[in-house]
Parts: sequence; C-alpha cells; structure tokens
Amino acid sequence: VSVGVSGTDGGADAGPTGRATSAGWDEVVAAALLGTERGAVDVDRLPLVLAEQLGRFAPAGRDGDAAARLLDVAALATVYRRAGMRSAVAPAGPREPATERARPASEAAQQRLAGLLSGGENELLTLWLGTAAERGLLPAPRLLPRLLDLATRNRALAELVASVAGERGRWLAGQREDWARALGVTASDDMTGNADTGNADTGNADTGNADTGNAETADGEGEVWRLGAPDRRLAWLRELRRRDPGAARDLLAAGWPAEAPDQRSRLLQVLDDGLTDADEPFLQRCLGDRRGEVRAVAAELLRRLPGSAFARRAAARALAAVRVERHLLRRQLAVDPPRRHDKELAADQIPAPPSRLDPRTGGPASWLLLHVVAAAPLQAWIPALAPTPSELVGLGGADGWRDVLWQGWARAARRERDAGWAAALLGVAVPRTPEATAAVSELIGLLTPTDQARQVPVLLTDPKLPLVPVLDAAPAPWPGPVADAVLDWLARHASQRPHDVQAVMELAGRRMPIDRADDLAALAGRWPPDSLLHRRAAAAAARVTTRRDLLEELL
Amino acid sequence: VLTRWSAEQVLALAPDASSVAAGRKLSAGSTWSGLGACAQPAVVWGLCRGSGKTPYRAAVDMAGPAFSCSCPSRKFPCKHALGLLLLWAAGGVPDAGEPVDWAQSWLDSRAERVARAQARVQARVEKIATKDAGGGPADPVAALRRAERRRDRMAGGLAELEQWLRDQVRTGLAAAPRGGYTAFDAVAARMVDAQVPGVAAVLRRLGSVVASGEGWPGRLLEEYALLHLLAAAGRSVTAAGGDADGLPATLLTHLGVGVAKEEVLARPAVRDRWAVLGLRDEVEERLSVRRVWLRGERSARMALVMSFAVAGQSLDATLLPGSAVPADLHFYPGRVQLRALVGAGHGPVGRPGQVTGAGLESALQAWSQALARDPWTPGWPVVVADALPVSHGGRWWLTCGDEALPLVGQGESVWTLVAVCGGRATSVLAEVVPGGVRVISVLAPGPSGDETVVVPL
Repeated sequence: VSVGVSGTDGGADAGPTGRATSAGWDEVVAAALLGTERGAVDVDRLPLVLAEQLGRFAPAGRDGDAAARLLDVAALATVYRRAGMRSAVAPAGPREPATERARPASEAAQQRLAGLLSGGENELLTLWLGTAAERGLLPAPRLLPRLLDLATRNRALAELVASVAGERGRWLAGQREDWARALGVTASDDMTGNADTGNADTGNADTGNADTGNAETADGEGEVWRLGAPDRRLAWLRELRRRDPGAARDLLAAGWPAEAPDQRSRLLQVLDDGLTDADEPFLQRCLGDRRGEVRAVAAELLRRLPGSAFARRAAARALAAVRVERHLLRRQLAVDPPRRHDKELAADQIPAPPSRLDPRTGGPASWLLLHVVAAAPLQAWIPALAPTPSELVGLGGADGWRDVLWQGWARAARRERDAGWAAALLGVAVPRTPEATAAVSELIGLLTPTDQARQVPVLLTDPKLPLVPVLDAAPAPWPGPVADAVLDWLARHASQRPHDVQAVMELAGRRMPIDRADDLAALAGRWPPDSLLHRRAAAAAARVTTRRDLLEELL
Repeated sequence: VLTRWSAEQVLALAPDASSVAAGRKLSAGSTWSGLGACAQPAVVWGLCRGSGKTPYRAAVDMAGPAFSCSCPSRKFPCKHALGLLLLWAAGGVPDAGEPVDWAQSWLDSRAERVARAQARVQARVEKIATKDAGGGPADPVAALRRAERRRDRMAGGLAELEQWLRDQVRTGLAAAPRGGYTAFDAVAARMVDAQVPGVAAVLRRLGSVVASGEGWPGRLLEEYALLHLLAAAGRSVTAAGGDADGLPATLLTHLGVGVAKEEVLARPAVRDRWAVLGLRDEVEERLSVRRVWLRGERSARMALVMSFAVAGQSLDATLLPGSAVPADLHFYPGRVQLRALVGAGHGPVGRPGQVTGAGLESALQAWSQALARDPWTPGWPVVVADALPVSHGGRWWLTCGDEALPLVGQGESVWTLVAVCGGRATSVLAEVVPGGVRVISVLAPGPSGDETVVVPL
C-alpha cells in the first residue's frame, strides 16, 4: 500500500480537519486495517511536511519493523492532524425567540423545580407549574430541556409545561419534533394541516374548538353535512344548532333513518344545546331506537323538558310511589312501590329487575322504586311534596325504604348536578350502602364552596362514612372549617382508627392549607417521638411546609 | 453569629440528585430537635429523628465544610447533614453561644486529625525542599533499590506494550473487534502490574473506540499510535538509566505515576483571584471524577482542579462554579501546566468579574501549542466569546462570528446549551478536544453587568 500526497482525504465534507492536514491519513489507516504483513506504507510518498518531521523524530529503520514504522508515522500524523484542526465557515444561526412577556421565577424556585425534575413527585411538580403559569413566572432556560422531556413522557403535564414554557420554551420545542408534538408547537403550516387531520382521526367529540372552526368555514351549504367525516358533521351540526336550533333538529330528523347506528347517540346529544319543547316529538321517536345508548340519550333529554309527556309520566309514576302523609301533627313519607315491571315502564327506559338480585340491595320492589325515583325530574318533588329538598329529605316515615329513596334522589341530583339537592341529601344520615357512600364524594363536589366548608366537617363526625373519599372530594386546599375538623378528628380518633388516621394524615399533607403546618406539627407533639403516629403527623407537617415554601418561592 | 449559606450553596454539596430530594424532605423543623449554630467555632448541629429509636446526631463543621452523622449512610454528606444545612440556610436553626458537648468533642477529634495530617504534609514538603537543597532520603540505599525495581517493572511492561501494539498493526486492525473488550482488559491488567495505570486506563477505553461506529479504525489507530509513542518514550527514558523519579514529568503523568500532593504543594505558588468557571462530574472506572476549571482573573491563566471519590461519596465541593477564590494554586509538574492543587487562601470568596473570551482561532492556537508541548494532551480549556450553537448538516456546531467548530461529546447537554443561549451569542467555557470543541458551561453576564453567572451544562 502506498500513500499518495493527493490521495482521497475523508475530510472534504467541510470537516474540521482540512484537506492539507488529512492528506495521506486514510492510506495509513488502510494499511493498519489490513495489517503490515500484507503491505506497508510508503513513507517517502507522505506529504512533505510529515515526511520531513518523520525524518527528524523517527528516523527510518530504527529497528526495521514495518509495524513500528507505521505506528511512528501514525503518531506523527495524529498529532499533526489534531494540532492542525481548522475552523469551518459558520452556518447561519437560528432566529431568536420572541421577547418574553413573563418574568423568570426566583432562583430558589428554579432550584426547587430542578429538584422536582430529578425525581420529585408529580403532585408537587403540578403545583409548581400550575402556580407559575397562574402568576406568569418562567422556568430558567437551563431547565427547559428537562421540562420538554417531561412533556413528551407525561401527557397530563404537557399542557402545564406548554403554559409555562414561555417564548423561549416554545422556540426550543420547535427545534425538535418530539418536543414540538408534546407542546402542540408547530414549525410550518404543513404540519398544522397534519395536526388537524390527526385531530379528526382521534374521533374525540370533545375536541370541539378546532372543529367548530371548520364548520364556520363550511359556508352553510351543507356540503360537510352530506359528505363530511363523522367528526366534521358533528361539529357542523353543533354550529347549526347554535345558530338555528329548529333547523338543526329538522335536518337531523330528516336523515335519521340513514344515520349510522354507532353515530346516532353522539348526533342526538347535540340537541342538548338549546333544548326546547319543540324537540319532543323527535326525541319521543328516538325512544324507540334499537340501540340502548340512543334511547338513554333521548330519555335524558326528555326528562329535561318538564312539559314533555315523558317527563310528566316519570313525575306521575314517582309521585304515585312516594307521597307525604299527615300523621296527627307530623308529616311523614309513605311509599307504595310499583308492583311489577311492564311494557310501559320499559318504554320509558325503566329497566326490568334482573332475575337474580343481590339480596343486600333489596328485592324487585326496591329495584323498581329506585329506578322510578331516580328517573323522575327533581322538580317533580318540589313543591309537590315539600317546599324544599331539605324538608322533603328530612321527613320521617317510609321505614325500610329510606335507603332506596336516598339513592334514587342522589342519582337524580348527580344527573341534574343540583347543589341544593346535594346539600339536602348530605344533610341527613347517609345510608350504609356501597352505592350511597360512593355517591357522597360526587355530591360533595356539587355543593357550593360555602356548603362544602359547612357540610364536610359534619360528615367527618359520621363514624361510618369512609373519610378519605369525603375529604378527597372537598376543595383543595381545604377551607378553614374542613382543616379544623380534620385536625380535631385526627386528635380524637387517632387511637381507635389507626388505619384511617394514616390515610387522612397522608391526605392532610397534600390538602391542608399552607398556613396550618404548625397545627400538624403540634398534633405530632401529642404522641411520643418514636411512635408511628408522631412520625406520620410530622411527615404531613413537613409536606405542608414544603408546599408553603414552594408557593412562597414563586412570589 | 454564623453567616448563613444560601440553599444553593448547600445543595452544591449533595453527592447526587436523590440526596437533594432526601435532604429537602429532612429540612423541616419538625423532624429536628436539639438544634444549634455557633459562630466560633463555626459549626451547625442537630438531632434528627429517623426510623430507629435513637435520633441521628448530625453536625457540620462550616470551616471545612466537614460532616459528621451517626446514621449508617455511606453517602457523604448524608441526607441528614444536607437537611440540617438546608434548615439552617432557611433560618430554622437557633444561634448558640457554644457547641453542644457531642458536637464539640467531634470538632476536637477532627481538629486533632487535621493537625496531624497537616503536620505530615508539612514535614514532607520540608523534606522535599531540603532534598532539593542537598538533603536525601532517610535510607538512600533502600530507596535506590525500590526505584530500580520499579523502573525495571515499568520498562518491562512498556516493552511488552510496544510489542503488543506492533502485533496489532502487523495482523491488522480489522481483527480488533473480534478480540472484544476482554482482549484489551487483559493487556490493561498487565499494565497495572507494571505500575503504569495511566496506560491501563487508555487501554480499557479502547473497547468503546472499536464500538464507536463508522471511522473506528482511524480512531483506534490514533490511540494505538499515541500509546506506542508513549511506551517508546517512556522506555527509552528508563533504559537511559537514572531512576524512575527522574523521568520527565509529562511522561510520568501520562503513564499514571502519581505525584504526591505534598510535592505539588511544595512547588511555587501562583497567586491570583481564581474564577470558578466550570465543573463536570464523570464516573471513570467506578470512581467519581470531578473536574473544576478555574481562570485567573489577573493572569487569564487556566487551571484544572481534579478530585476523586468512590461512587456515592461526596466530591470536593469547596470550589463552586460561579464563585471566585483568591488563593494560591500549585501546578503539577509537566510540559503543559494545567492541573493544579489549591493551596493557601487569601481572603473571602466572591463572585467572578467579567470574563473576556477570544475567538475560535485563538482557541485553536492555544490547543496546538499545548499539543506541541505535550502530544498526549486530551483537551485544552478556553473561554470563547460570542459563541452560539447551530445545527447544520446533521450535526451541531459551535459558531463564533463567521467561524465554526463541531461540537463533540456533548450528548444531550447540547440542548441545555441551545436553551441557555436562546439564539443569542454568549461567552462559554469550552474544551478543545480532538475533532472539535465541547462546551462545559455558559458564562452569562450577571444582573449588575460586571459579574459573570456560570451555568454548568
């Protein structure tokens, strides 16, 4: 193998090592790769500079070994190449990000965020990001790559990351495809088009915003309605319903038999917006649909039309089953459950009792009563039986049926998201049934903040209610009265209900208002320092302190 | 009253990220009792309730800083010491007139140990100084015999290495991958026996060079050739007689023959205000290696301070990036003087002033000058002004004006560089290495303008 001065030099592609310094190197490497047993480097044909130096530092034939000779040449060439590294012509830099409108968070906050990013809990991370977004504070640029990585891994946090990333964060995300996708940042218009298609493909009816935009551009010709993809048609119909409810319903009704069965319930749901008595005939027709979910949607909508025959039938059935009787001076509830399931009930979406009923939930009569009560619009009861939900729920009587009544009303209250009914139901003893206890946290969520602060402490005094779901449903951080009640409860019940206490303490660390850390610490002081209770309370206090510090750093 | 540290300073002491998180958890006052902070002597202490019956006793000597804790953790400092310092930094530790007795007794025993160690170093430094002035080792005959044995062993090992390298080139590098890592490891082990661990370390890295993808034969040949040069040079110097200690310092450094700290500290002091501009931790052969780059504010001289720790232990945290330390540096001997030890301090630690950088052309010049003096130089630190990372042609470049060098060995940290620069040219501390540059930290102007904020990558 011989080395030519003008041999191919791998550095032609604007590499750091220029042509001149690279000359001959590839031949040396080729010779070494092959082995000097099979051929040697012709040193005399090396570039002049190298050859000269070689003569100075490694005179030929030191020990007549071709391998040693090659290594000498390679050593010289290596240092020559390294020392001879040249700079290339600089490529154009990227455009700068737009000027930030928000200001950076404090250095302490940045350090906290750095700590959370390397193994912190998502809850604290969410608190940091959410608070920063709310207060218009930016993470330090050095943390952006890790934040963007987080957004690619955790879709739940991606939205928060997008809201705090700032101009620089979006600019940075735009330079990497995975980051851009996670943040919904796009570099070019083509990609925007793709994102739109992707949106439609997910088939998610809630991605309404982008779709509405499409509907508006559809020019009202009904082109989309006749030929569009399901999501676009849905969006178009929604838009039409908003502008002209009657036209939307008539259009839907006209083409109803031709609609694909699996699209019908979604389309029918559109009538929810701007529902009027004029929709009743079509909805009544849909009650006869072959698909259960379509019938369920129709029933829901009809229930919300108090003047509809359906709602009146449901109310009448409920009032036939439940009435208020006067006993001497006391008014009390009396129950006369439906005797049996029949076609009429079935037509109004009251399901037949299954052949095998769980004996704990009662017999077929309980089943029918529950569904009849639940199916009635809430306004059927008030003021027909009592002036307010609280007074109705608070009436005595109906022994043996009270749990079923409570559950039926709770179903209706949750369906109609009625705060007054929720307050009334939580104001009486909650039945000891799985359904009732499961309903509690949802009912709490319906309460007004004032009612929540008032009723959650009361619920905590109910020894049979599972505490954690109740507290979990309370607003976070806990309002003062809830915090007080929890501290009081912990102090009184610690020894009897150690299992609940641990769970409540854990929750307290996460939900207790940040100015109550000292109260938790004081609580810890009630138990001996080595005890489990003390450590749990101290841990909860520490957690509250951490949250407080985190929030204070973000001022 | 003891001057409080910032939480930032405290966290820089943490050996790893999980320690930071654990320390934070323990920084709540409720887990602590018997807390105190004393200014003279400067010490912070407290009792931390752990999972056991007896609380842990944690104390920190702020003069060091040095740590003590009765917990079994092998991390150093442990989470208790970190939590204690964080609590103190947040103002959660009351001031005390004097240390609690157990803290005091730890301080006493530590002071004794430090004094003994210092006396030992001082004695060695003096001995070295008097040896230069004509004195000699205590037992010249035994010392000579030891040196001779060592020289023979090194010469033998290096001769073997030379032969091995030639064999590789004779049969051809194409055969190298089939040998795999174990082939290199066997030679490396042999070099450890021959007391040239520096050579062994290079050999152990060769497996990854072979696996480094396209162009690996060229990179492997570079390594072989430089090792061959090192072996030949080392052997010719040992063969020329004279004891191994007389080998030129540069060769000794690369062969891995350590220089005693006392010997370095006995070398002339270079006094300056040293700006700490960069820090990088790497794990090399189960050892954590911390490199801290300094730059003299008056002399503009660069220095590298290295510290080592077994994985999990805390590395030396006295040099924090973004600080400036008025101190003596003692440079290791060698033709290229970069690595140094910190000697006596000369005043309080502050913030670095404005750092002036140069263009890529002068960076390349400094690099080639270093290579000319020491062909085995692995990299050369430079401050580059107006640097900007740019992606072009499928790779990243560091541009400065209309010049550019490839960014090499940067990994994911290139994105931190891009994020921190934000499209605007900024000063950086970079290392010129074979094939390009590697950025160590970004040097941003501070809020007041005449300060420098260091952002390590």
